[in-house]
Amino acid sequence: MNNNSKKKKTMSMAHRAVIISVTSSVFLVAVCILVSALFFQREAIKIYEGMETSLTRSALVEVDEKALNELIIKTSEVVKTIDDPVSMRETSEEEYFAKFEEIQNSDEYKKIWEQLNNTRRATISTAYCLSLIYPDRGYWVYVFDASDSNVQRCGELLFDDFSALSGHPGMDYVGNVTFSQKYGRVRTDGVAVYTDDENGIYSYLTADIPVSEAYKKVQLFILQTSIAAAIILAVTCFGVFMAVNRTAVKPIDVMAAKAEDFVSLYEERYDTHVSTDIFQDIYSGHVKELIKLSISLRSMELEMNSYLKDIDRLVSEKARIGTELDIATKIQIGTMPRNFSDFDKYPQIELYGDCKPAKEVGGDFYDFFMLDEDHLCLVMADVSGKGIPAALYMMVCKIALMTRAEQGGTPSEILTYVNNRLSANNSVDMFVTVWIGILSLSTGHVVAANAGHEYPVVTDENGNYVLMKDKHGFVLGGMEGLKYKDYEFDIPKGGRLFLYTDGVPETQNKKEEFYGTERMVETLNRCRDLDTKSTIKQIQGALLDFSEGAEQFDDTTLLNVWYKG
Amino acid sequence: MLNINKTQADKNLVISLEGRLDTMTAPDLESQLQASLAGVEHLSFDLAKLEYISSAGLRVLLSAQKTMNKQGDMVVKNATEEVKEIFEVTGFTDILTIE
Repeated sequence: MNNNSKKKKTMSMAHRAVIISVTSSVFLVAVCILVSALFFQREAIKIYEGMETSLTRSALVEVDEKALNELIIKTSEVVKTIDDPVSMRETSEEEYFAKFEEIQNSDEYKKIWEQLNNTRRATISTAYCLSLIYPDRGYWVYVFDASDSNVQRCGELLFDDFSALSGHPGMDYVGNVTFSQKYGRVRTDGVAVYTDDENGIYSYLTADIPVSEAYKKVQLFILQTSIAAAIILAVTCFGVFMAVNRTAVKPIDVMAAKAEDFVSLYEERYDTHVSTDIFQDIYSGHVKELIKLSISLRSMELEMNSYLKDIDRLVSEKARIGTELDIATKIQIGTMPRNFSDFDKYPQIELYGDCKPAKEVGGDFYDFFMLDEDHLCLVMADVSGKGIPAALYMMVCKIALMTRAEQGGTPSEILTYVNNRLSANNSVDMFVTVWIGILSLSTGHVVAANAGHEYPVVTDENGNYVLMKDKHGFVLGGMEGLKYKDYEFDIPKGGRLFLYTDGVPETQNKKEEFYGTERMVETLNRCRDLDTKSTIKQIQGALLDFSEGAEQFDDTTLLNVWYKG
Repeated sequence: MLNINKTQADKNLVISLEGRLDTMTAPDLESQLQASLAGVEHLSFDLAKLEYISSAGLRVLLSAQKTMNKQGDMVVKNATEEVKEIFEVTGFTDILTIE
């Protein structure tokens, strides 16, 4: 894990789910309550309005209509007798109300007042008022004020703004809202009672309804629903938490724990390649995504198991190939003669050779064998390519050369024959460079032929190694029907012949410089007094020094022959 | 490292090699040749910038020569002294047309 994760604030999934569900529910519920409260309030007021109208109508049913109308007409007549009711009411109150006293003290008045007030008491209305409306003068004149408090006397004035009133004043009065100190917002509405256009009498029975009651009810409604909503919310959120926890969080926790187990088994898996069954039957629920996740985890595990099996198989395969290569290496080494001491019986010569393949098996080889008691056949060869293909080709080539050489003939005849045999069915265009020479032990005379191989090195009369630029034919196996030419030379008595493959001059150091034939000849000349085995070891040591540990890609093969005469 | 540049004009293909043609790089050249030799009648290798050729590289040239023997001709141009010497030592001068 990196350090960034420490800085990040972490939160469990259940916690997060609860926060999300609580905030969203609170918001939703608040909006619902507000909207419904608004509607509730509007509807409640409408219902009150409707109620008022029907209340006042029903109140009129019980009242003696004739007596009521008479009282209305009487009151209007009294009002008519007063020139300026407003200023009279202001200046001489007693005198003003005395004019209405007769009406107010009449039995009909008291009876009707009682009837109206009794009817009112059965309702929520605070006052039933019967009044005359004078829109052009801007006031009402009370006839009755049937209420239990602050009862207005007959003839009392009530100023009002009638600018909004349009139409017939005896029909089209719409209610208004006033504020009372006792009842708060009060809605006043009513019905027309008696109308006499001729005499300008327009009377209404109105009922005062405290609308604030409706607001109080709305507040109560909000409070009650809020409490209920809060309880439901709490229960729901707890339910959500439990459900999320059970269906998602816990299964994911289980999976996460199993995944951690799987990760912690890394080393064990790495060492022992055990198959695991950690993710089997990890989830048994019905959440689609979790089913998917569990299937993915399981298939990842199975894939890992099969990879491990593959690795095991590859490891054993590799071990098997390794063993086979070991054997192949031994077989290949076995094909190159190491019986140098067998030649002790020929005092004329001493020889030593060695081959170091770059890989387990290589394509280089040397060979030497007696053709008869006087003639020694020497071979140095290099197959193109490396590894097993080169090794197989080398075996074929080596056997072909030896078999053909033992049948007699000159080196060129041997090469021509072997080239044709190798080229005949060569589908992979591999080839081999071969130097072959036949040395007469009695004379030191050599007949040789070169099929694309490196120049041999022979000592001159003074014992100095010299690169012999001999005639070259084409490599063997590349093309059928080619001819090769023999050439001849003599090894002086006590002289040497040194054969090698291109791996020697092409040994590289870290600067990618080649060892080269010049350095090789110089080193050889420093070994003039050593025996053949020591000479080969010296050259190999010099190559190792030169390469400075740089990896070598080519086989190196060397053969040193000392003609003692 | 080996850079292989191919210039084809109709049935003439010129391949310029730059770097080292050895065990590591020869398979690359071989696969490129296999892909592009079809229909070519005149194949020319420009070896002016080729520093070194190993037996694996020679094998690819031999393959190309054999293919071109059947469908046209092949020449090797501008080989450096070092590369020429390798051609000489291995006898490839006998089978390649070196200009």
